[in-house]
Amino acid sequence: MLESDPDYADAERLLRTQLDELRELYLLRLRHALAGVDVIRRRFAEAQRPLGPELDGAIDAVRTLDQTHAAAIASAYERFYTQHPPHSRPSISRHREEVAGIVAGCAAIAIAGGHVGVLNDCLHLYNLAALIEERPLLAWSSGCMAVCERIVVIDDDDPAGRPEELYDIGIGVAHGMVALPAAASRLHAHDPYHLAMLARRCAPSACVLFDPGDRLELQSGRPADLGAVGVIADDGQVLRGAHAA
Amino acid sequence: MTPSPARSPRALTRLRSEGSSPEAIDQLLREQRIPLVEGTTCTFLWRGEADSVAIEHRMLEVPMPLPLRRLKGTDLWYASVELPRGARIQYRILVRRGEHTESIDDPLNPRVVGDAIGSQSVLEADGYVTPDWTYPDPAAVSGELVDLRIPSRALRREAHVTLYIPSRMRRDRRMPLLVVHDGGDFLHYSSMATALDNLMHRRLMADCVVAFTHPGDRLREYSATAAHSRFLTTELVPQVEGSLQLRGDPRGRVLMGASFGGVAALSAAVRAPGFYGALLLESPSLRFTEATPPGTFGEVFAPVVRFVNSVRARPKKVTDRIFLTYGAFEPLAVPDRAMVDVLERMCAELRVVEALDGHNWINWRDRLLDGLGWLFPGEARLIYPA
Repeated sequence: MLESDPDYADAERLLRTQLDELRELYLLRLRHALAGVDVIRRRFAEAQRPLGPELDGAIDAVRTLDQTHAAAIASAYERFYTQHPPHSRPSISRHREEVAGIVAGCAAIAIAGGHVGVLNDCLHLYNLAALIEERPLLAWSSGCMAVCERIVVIDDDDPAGRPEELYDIGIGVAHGMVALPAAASRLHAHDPYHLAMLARRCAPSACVLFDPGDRLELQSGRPADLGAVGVIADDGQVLRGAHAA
Repeated sequence: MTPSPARSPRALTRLRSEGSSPEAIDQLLREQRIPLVEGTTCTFLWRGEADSVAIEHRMLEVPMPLPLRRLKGTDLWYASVELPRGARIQYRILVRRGEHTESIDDPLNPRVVGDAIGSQSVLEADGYVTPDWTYPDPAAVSGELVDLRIPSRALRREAHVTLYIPSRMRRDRRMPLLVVHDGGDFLHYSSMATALDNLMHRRLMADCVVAFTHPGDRLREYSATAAHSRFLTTELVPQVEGSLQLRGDPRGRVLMGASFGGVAALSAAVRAPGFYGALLLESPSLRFTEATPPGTFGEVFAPVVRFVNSVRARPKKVTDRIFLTYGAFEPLAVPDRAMVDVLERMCAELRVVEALDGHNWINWRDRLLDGLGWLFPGEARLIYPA
């Protein structure tokens, strides 16, 4: 598609460059903001003082950074789609019609895993959220991430040492949750503080851990029973079963 | 790390208790991996007749050379050291008979590595694992190695450069460029082409073109000379970036070097502030003389010392990121550690990795993921099971 529409391809490349720069700056600020939270936490712990509003303030700064980044991503997409409306480009509208035709003949939609960025771009480009309607939607792996409102990437083995990051805005058909698939391999045995930090950053959405065999049903776009999966609580404990629900 | 002559390793204690017969020694040497690694206690062994036997090594706080003791009533010699988990050292055995001392690889240890200087035996402490990305992986498509001859006015010679073109090279993607000093040695002794194939295939680092440079008069060219810096900045980089349509901006240019090559990389960045986006320095020979008289390190180091002294006197930001690594068991660990504060002021972000290894190509190979993964972040973290 990009090969058949070089102008759109150029604009898309420019958007990627802008998003890459946004991400780089966000990660730079995020590392420092998280280090700030850690310093405060340690200082209170060493002094054996109860954690108070100082820590809340530091965590709020991280939350604000996440929110600001999400807004910046949304603005970049909005500018791009305003300047280059996909439906007005024959190459894209043709593909959109094709996808819509396929979906129209489907009883259900399944979204698999893979590269979460590429997957999410495709779902947005073909406007899948508008096509789902009342059809059952099954998603797994990075598919789970892309159907949420926000895509959060975790990887404790990242050689670049990047922290848990708000990576992108998903298609937003699953509400009230942030999906963290392959949790066991990506999220090593963490101290509860670390997990609590993640939970507080994602709040009010629930941080839902998915591993092979885990299954979560959604009703009206919201988790029906969180007891079926692992959920990170505000204190950093991973709750399962009745506790998670 | 400490020598532990008082502690007998379990295997030797057993040997003593069994009478230390020649047959029992034969059995020990046949069944055990030598040097013996028992927890953190590592024991060198040598068998034969000699006046003295010692280990030639670079371990800190261990006598150099480390003398071996003779196990009473036998021809088996031994010495134990305590090594932290994950450590790796290279050594040779010194055997003295009369006035003659011979330096040999450990005949009881098949693990031997070589470089341009010679071979050395390898002791891998408990917990050391050769990274799996250093072995050829049939699933990884190899990059292409292309030899170039570039007439260089700066160097007044024809410069030999080996280009590594990644398998995913595409005309519509402007890739970054990594320039590696001592390219031939990195390719030969550090298996760097294999490492690049695997790291890019697994997306642990982003795809990039790599220019492996081959020095002429290495110790002269790499000793912070203006000519070498000019070759990199005004000849090599523009030519490669232009011909392969690479990114061509500071963020897309990284200089890398080990030992003297690290000096050359830092020197080129200092002479062209802002031109290079990052440096990857492995055990750089950053000798300085603030606390020692001039000439301490000999004639070869004189220009290096002048350069490092000047940098230390007035550190200025020259690049965005610097990755510094050195071995805890090498003499350069001391000056390299002392350079951390200075390097911090020469970049926006500094990352330091002190490896439990020495001044050698395997250490520099093993650190490639840390350095390249940080400087060229890959997309592995975005890829989930299908």
